[in-house]
Amino acid sequence: MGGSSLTSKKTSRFIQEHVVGLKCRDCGKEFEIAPLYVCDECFGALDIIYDFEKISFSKSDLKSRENTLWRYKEFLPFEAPEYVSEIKAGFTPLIRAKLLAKKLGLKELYIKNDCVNPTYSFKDRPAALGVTAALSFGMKSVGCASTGNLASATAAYAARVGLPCYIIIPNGIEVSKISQAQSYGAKIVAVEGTYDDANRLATQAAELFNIGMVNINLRPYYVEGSKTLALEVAEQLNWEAPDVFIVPTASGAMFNAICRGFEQLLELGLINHLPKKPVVAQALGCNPISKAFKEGRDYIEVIENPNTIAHSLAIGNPGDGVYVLRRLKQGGLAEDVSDQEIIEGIKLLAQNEGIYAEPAGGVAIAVLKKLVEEGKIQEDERVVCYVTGSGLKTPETLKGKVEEPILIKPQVKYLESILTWQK
Amino acid sequence: MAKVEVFLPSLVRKNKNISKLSIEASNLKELLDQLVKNDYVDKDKLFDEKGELKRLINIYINGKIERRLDANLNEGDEVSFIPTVAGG
Ligand SMILES: Cc1ncc(COP(=O)(O)O)c(C=O)c1O
Ligand SMILES: [Zn+2]
Repeated sequence: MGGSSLTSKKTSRFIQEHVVGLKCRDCGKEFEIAPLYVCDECFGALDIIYDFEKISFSKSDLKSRENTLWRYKEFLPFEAPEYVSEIKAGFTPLIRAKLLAKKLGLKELYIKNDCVNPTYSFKDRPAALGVTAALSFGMKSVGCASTGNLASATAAYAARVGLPCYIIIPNGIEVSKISQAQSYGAKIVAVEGTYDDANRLATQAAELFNIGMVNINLRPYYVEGSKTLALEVAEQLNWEAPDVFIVPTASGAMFNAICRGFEQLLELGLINHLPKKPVVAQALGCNPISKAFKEGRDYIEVIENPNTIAHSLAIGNPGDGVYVLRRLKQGGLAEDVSDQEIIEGIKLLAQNEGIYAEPAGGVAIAVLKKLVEEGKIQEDERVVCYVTGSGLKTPETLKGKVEEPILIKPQVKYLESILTWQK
Repeated sequence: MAKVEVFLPSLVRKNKNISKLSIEASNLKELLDQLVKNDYVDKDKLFDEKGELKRLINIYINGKIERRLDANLNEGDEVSFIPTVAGG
């Protein structure tokens, strides 16, 4: 690609010098940096191309950088605008889960706790990049199609940069996720239908009303944010890749981004091998990717009517589905779990590690448990489990699944029969 | 013959100024033929060398994915062309 490809970059703010263009994942056609998301020849997804030769980066550079996802600027298209980065997304804790490991029969298990992001899910990462992309291209409004978490993340960053935000959701997602997004001033449209209906409408809205829909027409930039989930884990493991990592998966965008993150770390010599077992974790009630994987297909059969308590993972027609299947062919696993297993997963994590996750996190833990029991993950493998959203966003989930509080009169005698363990 | 509303994203259409069209056709194949004949889209934009609809483009009739070219169209149907890679 020649120097002329750089022309439009001059008009886009924040874009870094080593960002060369966009490239089609399917046919390899290259494009200049612009708000494009699919190839005009084959409709394949576009990814950002970096010229890593143009930069020098060493691990020690990180010492002086902020503990946010923006510390990995060499791997990101944009230099952070202050008002985006100051809310401090990313660089979340990687926690050694000793009790849970013991319970499951593993030696080395880590939880990447992404519940503690500014808007309480991993979606802060892609949304921060997506909204920066909208600013960079001078767009006048942003938005997204969302299963819940992206709504709040996009709305929060839109508020920080002062852009109006339009969000399209399927009707029936958790109430807390909606009120959180509304608190940031976003306009929410609920569609009588599935996420895929919301997504289709958002794709049309992006074009008809010229909106920067972060996960649609700004998708190549947006997904780069999720790549930092790999970069952080590598740094936190002292620059070693885990053997296994487990990702709760809906569209497959995050899973792909994490894989790409590890690949780029390897390319730059920052780790010396790739994780050998990437795992896609889905809900049984919406499992288009794991079903295709198990049936040995390289294409997705759309799940028309997803039915699971993991609303955030209810995407029946995953945009990155075929690409995820392509990666799994090189090695990896996909598994799905029932609603009951998801709830058990949430409790296992909370009761052994003190981390309260939303159903997506429960999916990751339940899939981990299942694969260990089936001998597909071995005792001595080093495992990282991505827990991607907070349980406070989904209070409905445990309703009726945990003991009710015991109601007593305010006299100490009533505690006697209850707090027996104190004796 | 039924009059249907067609949403053509700029990615697909030739004339960059039109995004919505009203077209008469009784099934999907007829609609696609019309779009090509009236020069709204290039044939090889939507179909591969084997003459099959490209894998990474979805056609929706009233919000439901349809890949059968003989699928019937009814008066007022909304037909949209959407790339698969979007959202989530
Ligand atoms: C908490 C949580 N985890 C995981 C996912 C799945 O992400 P992806 O659609 O990139 O596969 C989502 C998607 O909305 C989510 O909200
Ligand atoms: Zn292509």
